[in-house]
Order: sequence, then C-alpha cells, then structure tokens
Amino acid sequence: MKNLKTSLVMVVLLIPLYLVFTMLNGSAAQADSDNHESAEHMALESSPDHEALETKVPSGKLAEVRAFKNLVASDEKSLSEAKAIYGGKGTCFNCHGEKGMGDGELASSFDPKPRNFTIPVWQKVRTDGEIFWIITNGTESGMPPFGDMLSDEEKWGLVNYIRELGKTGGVANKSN
Amino acid sequence: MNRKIRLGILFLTGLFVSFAISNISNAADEVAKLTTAPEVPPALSRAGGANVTVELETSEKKGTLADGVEYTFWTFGDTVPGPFIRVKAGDNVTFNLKNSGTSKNIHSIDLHAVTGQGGGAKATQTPPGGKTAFFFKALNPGIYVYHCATAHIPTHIANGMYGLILVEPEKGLPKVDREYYVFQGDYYTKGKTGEKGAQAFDVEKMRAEQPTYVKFNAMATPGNLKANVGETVRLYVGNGGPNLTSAFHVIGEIFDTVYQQGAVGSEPAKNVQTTLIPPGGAAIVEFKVDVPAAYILVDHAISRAIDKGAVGILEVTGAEVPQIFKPLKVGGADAGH
Repeated sequence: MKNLKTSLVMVVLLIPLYLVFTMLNGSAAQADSDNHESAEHMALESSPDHEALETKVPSGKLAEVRAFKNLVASDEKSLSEAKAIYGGKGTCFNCHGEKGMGDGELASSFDPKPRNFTIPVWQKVRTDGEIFWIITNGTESGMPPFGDMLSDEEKWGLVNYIRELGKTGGVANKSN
Repeated sequence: MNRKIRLGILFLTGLFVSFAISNISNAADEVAKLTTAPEVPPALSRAGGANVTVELETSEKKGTLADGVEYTFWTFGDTVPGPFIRVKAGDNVTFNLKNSGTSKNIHSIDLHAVTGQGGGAKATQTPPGGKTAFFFKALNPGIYVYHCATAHIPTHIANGMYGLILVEPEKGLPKVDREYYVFQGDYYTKGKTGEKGAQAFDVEKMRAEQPTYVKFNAMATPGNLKANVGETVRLYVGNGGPNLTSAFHVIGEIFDTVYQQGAVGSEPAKNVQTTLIPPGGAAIVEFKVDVPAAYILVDHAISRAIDKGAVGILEVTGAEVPQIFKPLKVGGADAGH
C-alpha cells in the first residue's frame, strides 16, 4: 500500500516534468526552424563573402533608410530603362559586371571587391532603401556617389534591376 | 565760359579714366586657349582678375604606347598628357568638364591649383555623356598638376588622366624664347615591355610599382622639341606617376634656373643637373642652349629611359661654338689619317 502511494506520487510528479520536457522540446524545434536564416548567415559569416552581411549605411541613418519606399514599379519598361543605365551612364557594369556578379573589368582594382548582387543572403538582408542610399551616397571602399548623376527615379529603377540580377544573374540561376 | 569748358574737359577725362580702370580691373571674359603637348599657350599680357572659362572633355581613346604596342588611354582632351591650361593669379575661372558619350567610365578633375573641395573633384564626377562645372579663384601662382579623381583613382591616373595648369604670377614669368610642355607617366601593361599588339592595363603591376613603360608625352603631338643656338628654353615638366618620382635630366645641358616643385615666387635654384619631380608634382626648368646638339631628356633613373621609354629630344640647330664645345680627335681608329 505504501509502495502504491509512493508510485502514485512519483507519477503525479513525473507528469508535469514530462509536459515541461515536451514543451521545451517543441520550442527548440520551432527555434531551429526560425533560425534557418541564421544558419545561412552563419555559413556566410565563415565564407569569404561574409562582408555582404554588413550594411554600409551609417547606423544613425539605418532606420530611416530602411523605411524608404521604392517609388518605381518593377515592370518590363522600367527594368529595360534601368538595364540601359546599368550598362551606360551609370557605368555599374564596369565594376559589378554585366550579370551583377562583382566581376566587371575594373573589379580587380578594388579591395574589397565590388558587390556581387547574386549572393542570395545579401539580397535577403539588404532592403531597397539601403541599396538606394548606397547608390546615392557611395561607399568608402570605392563606390562613387551617384546623388548628382542620376535622378531618384533612375536610382529606384536600378534597385529593381539589381533585384532582377539577384534572381537571374548568377548563383541562384546556377543552382537550378 | 572758360570755367564751363574746363569742367567739361575734367568730366570727360574722369569718364575716360573710369572706363579705362574698369576695363583693366574687370577684364573681358575669355575662353582659355588650350594646347596639346609639347606646345604651351602664349604668355598672358593682361592683368590678373579676368573671368576665364575652361572647356575640357574626357575620353577613352586607343593610342600607341610604344612601337607596335596599342593601349586604350583615358584622356583629357584626347591627348596624354591633357591640354596645357594657362591662367593668371587672381583670375576667376569657370571650369566646364564634359565626359564623352563614348566613355565607359565616370571621370572628374582635381586641379592642384584649386583651393576648395577635392580641387574640383567632388563637383565634377561626370558620367558618360554628362557635363559638370565649378568655379574657382586662382589664388596661388605656380605650375600645378591636374588629374582625374574618380574611383579607382590610381587606375584613372595610370591610364593617362593628367596634365598641367600654369597660374602665372601677377607680373608674368621672365621672358624666354621657347616654352615647352613635358609630362612623365608610368604605365602598366599585361604584356612584357615591348610585347606587341593591344595591351590591357595590369592593376597588379601598378600596385607592385613595376611599370612596363615610362613615357614623356605618351599620346601627344609627335616629334622633337626645337630651338636655335643662343635661345633660352623653358620646360614645364610634370609627373603624373602614379608611382615613380622622376629624376629629370637633360643630357648635355645644365639647368640655369629651376623652380623646384613648381614653386613660383620662391627663390629658384641655379645650376642644377637633375631635378626631382614627384608624382602629382611639377617643376619649371630654364636653360640657354649654347651649342647645337640633340639634347636628350631623360628620367635619370636610367633604366626607365634606356629600357622603358622615358626619353625625349630637344633638337638645337645653329653654328658650332667651339669655344664652348668641340670634339677632339685623339687616338681612336682613325687617328693619324
């Protein structure tokens, strides 16, 4: 009888323990799922392209810049115009390459190398506003500021074209 | 009556003097005359303070770097070095820069004669087919380098984007018989020195500071500089680099006067054999040519001259002056004949 009581007490104590364990296990599984992107980040962090994760926008402006709204719809006409700027007066192709892989004719002159737009994680972490800001203001690593050379409409068009290069230009396309 | 006439004459004289003064102090607008090396625009006979406009266009042009060696130069005014610009201290300069529609790159200009942001570079980042402009007052007399200052700047300079601007002092420079424009640059090709055909730029050789060519006036008017015996010659000598400091020397001559580092207004050096000209620097050298000869301009880091091309010729003609120089026949193969 005493043994029965002891067993019952043990069962009563073990039930909540089991429940807590199950819940924790479920949370961990969920967390793993949520951290899928982090795993991608971690892989990138240890790769030569780790620099792609770091924004070039000053921290004091980041929130404002990320909230910028793209003013140009990404359609056939605007993409065609942006492509002409990318390969023409914007001179983007010289450094970033025709397909946006950061392998243009002048790429080897720069250290760090020009941005490869076809890195999927870079496309994922960079907002349109950040890309627009960099086109406008340039970077310390050699990207010239286009604030006075291109209109806002042209720059937003380029942002859309850079997104297209991310879809079709290189790595993503090659893996298919 | 006499008083009225006197007053009238006084009024008219005052009017004439005022007009004359205003004409001097606010000289008429002018477009700067630009010349291709080795030519130099004529000295400015007017006072400083003129409103001067400079029109310059950048371009990317195929040219000849050495015999049988083609190279795509990046240029100001389709030539390397870019045109010689001549203004006077106190001038108000409006600088208009165009970039040819056929250029593949953005270009700009940083003039070392300019006091202001980037020497004009920030205001003149010009896309292909575009135009930019800025204003500057020429404050300091001297001979100054200008160059492109668009990223990657060493690449733009190594491809030939540089030239000279002279800011004459208020009273001008002393009169000479001949003025010439010479500009040194170091070049970096994928192929070895002398390898024929179209050669691409080699950024790694540039970073290693191992040029395949060192040239004076790489894509300018061909031919020798010329002078007559007894004339005084002034050379404006610039160095674009991007890497090498020039040991500029003229074989068979001594520089009577050198404005070292282009420092017009400082006491010039006298009796100089070789003068140093750093990348982004310039000097003015002057000498009287006393005897006829083919005087050879060199960078006296001599392998650059003999092996890589840093050579030019000043051809001086006229009667021999044996009191100063004559060859003597002693010994040798034809002695006794």
